[in-house]
Order: sequence, then structure tokens, then C-alpha cells
Amino acid sequence: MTLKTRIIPCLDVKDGRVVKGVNFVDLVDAGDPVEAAIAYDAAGADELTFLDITASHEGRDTIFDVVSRTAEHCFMPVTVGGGVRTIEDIRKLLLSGADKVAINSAAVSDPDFIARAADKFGNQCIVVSVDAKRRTSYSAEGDNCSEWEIFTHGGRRATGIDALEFAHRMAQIGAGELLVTSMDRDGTKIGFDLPLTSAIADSVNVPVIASGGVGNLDHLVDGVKIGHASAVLAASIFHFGTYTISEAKTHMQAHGIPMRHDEI
Amino acid sequence: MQLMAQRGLEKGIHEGFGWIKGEVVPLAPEQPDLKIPHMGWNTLSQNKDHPLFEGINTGPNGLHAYFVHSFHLQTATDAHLLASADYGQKITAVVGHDNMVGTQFHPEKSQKLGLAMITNFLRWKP
Repeated sequence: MTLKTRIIPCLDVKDGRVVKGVNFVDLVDAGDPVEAAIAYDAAGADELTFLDITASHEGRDTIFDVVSRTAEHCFMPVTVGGGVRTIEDIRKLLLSGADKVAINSAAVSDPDFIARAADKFGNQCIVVSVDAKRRTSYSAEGDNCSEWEIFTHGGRRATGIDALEFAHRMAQIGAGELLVTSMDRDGTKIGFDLPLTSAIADSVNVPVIASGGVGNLDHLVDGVKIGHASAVLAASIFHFGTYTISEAKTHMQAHGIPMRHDEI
Repeated sequence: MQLMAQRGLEKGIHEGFGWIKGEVVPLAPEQPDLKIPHMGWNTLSQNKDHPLFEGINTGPNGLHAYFVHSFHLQTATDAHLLASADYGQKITAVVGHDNMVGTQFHPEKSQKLGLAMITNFLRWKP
């Protein structure tokens, strides 16, 4: 088996601009998502994820332009998430050049949407974002639920839905991949929620991307070796030049994880 | 590539163009813990010489191609299989017949290998 573990930088995009910017190379415009994408393509990223956090309805069309301009310049796979609610949203993103779409709130409010989307476009391009948080009042004796609950709307809205059950159901009805983000760890730089990642990765037969909390390269190794993730997603450690993609790959390879080192 | 097959078994049974003898069947890796879809970067094992591979380093230490699929074209004859990938089973990666070639992976998303292959395809005079 020679499939390699993937490293996926994630860019938060709002109204067509990168939130907080990207500073790991000399970019003319650190806020241009396409420039950042080109730089990551050149750096050997295995995939790229755009998370569109545009709030206004009017601003939503900007992401299509970002994706199509990225596809013109980059020859790497691109996933787009954020605000994907209809079959038409998915069609437009795929036509713009996205390879996969990540769906969060719509999968929670209408699980059947995932089945319809997979029927239409194939499971392989439907990623379900599993945004999970540890329950505040969890006791191991509590029946039929895990320690984690699903949140929507960027982690602001609790749903009461069990994260493991949700992940399992999504994989069954059509998700081709799960993007598992710990809302407790997001932005903390103390590492992935490994029990969450492994609990989901071990119970579904689709690939799991670990997300939320990366602060150093050992965290990436742990996500794969302990969390059993097929891919690791990180943002700030790459955007601000703390580590390069290549350093991350070398570090993971040194810990026995097969990585791709093609010269670009 | 999958459209070139005689028929496909994804979400029902569907007729293909029948240009390449074989069927599009679900992946069934021997190790049950391998995830489906086969998603990510894998190397190619060349089965035949073809102008498409000109100057491209294949094999376990070669360049990688980007795959994202749950089905593959199982060719009826080895003669049409140009390259495969290993994922708990032999996965059809490139097929070819007369003036046709098809890839299971995405050359337009496969960086160096993909661009080289697209260049070779454009230069190819079958």
C-alpha cells in the first residue's frame, strides 16, 4: 500500500479575502486567496481547503471566482466548505473547479441532503464537516452517547446530536470523507482532540481528516499515529511560516508515516 | 476513463461506450481496514510502454498521481491496462487502446506528474 498521508492547509476566506492573511512567502497581496493557493501548490501541499466564512448573502458569489481563478493556476485538489446548502451550490463549486465540497450545517439540519448530493455527484466529492465539542455534563454511565456533541454555525450552535452517531450515519448515507474538527481545540495550538479523532476514524470506513488545534509538527504525527486520520489539516502553523509544508512532511516521514515528496 | 468501459455498476447498472472491454466495479481491497474512497496520492506501476509516460518517473519511488474514487475499471484484457496503482488490490490507473487513453486519477490535479502526462498526450501522434 503506497497511498500517502495528506497535509492540507486551510484558508479561511471572507468576502473573497483571506482572513488574517498568509505570510510564509513574499506575497504581493497577503490577503489574496489565489496567491496563497499558488504558494501552497508550489510548496507541495497535498490538497487545499477554502473555508468560506462570508456572512452576507451578497458576498457569497465571491468564492466561485476565487475557486475558478485558483483552478486556472493550481494543479492540486481543492475542497471548498462554508455555506453549502443546495445541490445547485455544489454544482457551481464543482464547475468552478473544486474537487470536493465540505458540508456542515445543511448535513445536520437535513441529513438526506447528503444522500441526494452523493447520488448526484458521487460520494467521493462529498465531505461532511463534523464540528464536535466535548459535552460539559458527560458521565461515562450516560447511555448510548459519546463524549462529543455536534455544533453548527462555526461552533456557535449546539445541536445535542451525538458526534459519533452523526459521523457514522453520514459515512453510511453518502459522505466520502469526514473533516473532523474539535471546536474545543480549534485555535489553541495544543494538538488535535485525539480521542475524538480516533473514535470516529475507527468507526467509519471513509477517510478522516483531523482538524483543530495544531501547534507543532508532533501534533501532525499524533493525528495520524494516535488519531488514525488519513489526512491532517492545519492553518496558522503554515500561514505564518512557523513551519513549511516540506518540514512537516520530512518530520512525519521520519516518524514512519509515508509522505509524498515529489519535486514540484 | 470509466465511460469507456462496457458497463458500470455504480448506483445501478449503466451501459458504457464499450471502447475498452471491462466493467467499472467497486473497489474491494484485501485489507478491510483500508478506507474507501481511495483518496489521495499514490504511485503508478507501469504495465506497458506508452508515449504517455515519456520522461515520467513511475514505480514505488516515482512521482505521485491524485486519486479520488470508489470504483475502477476492471479491464477484461491485460492488453488495455497501461498502469496500475496498489491499494490493497491492483487498481486500474491508466487504460489505453488504439488512439485512446484514460486515467482513473486526475492529471489536472496531479501537479508534476499530471502536467507531464497532459503534455505527452498533446504531443502524442497515434
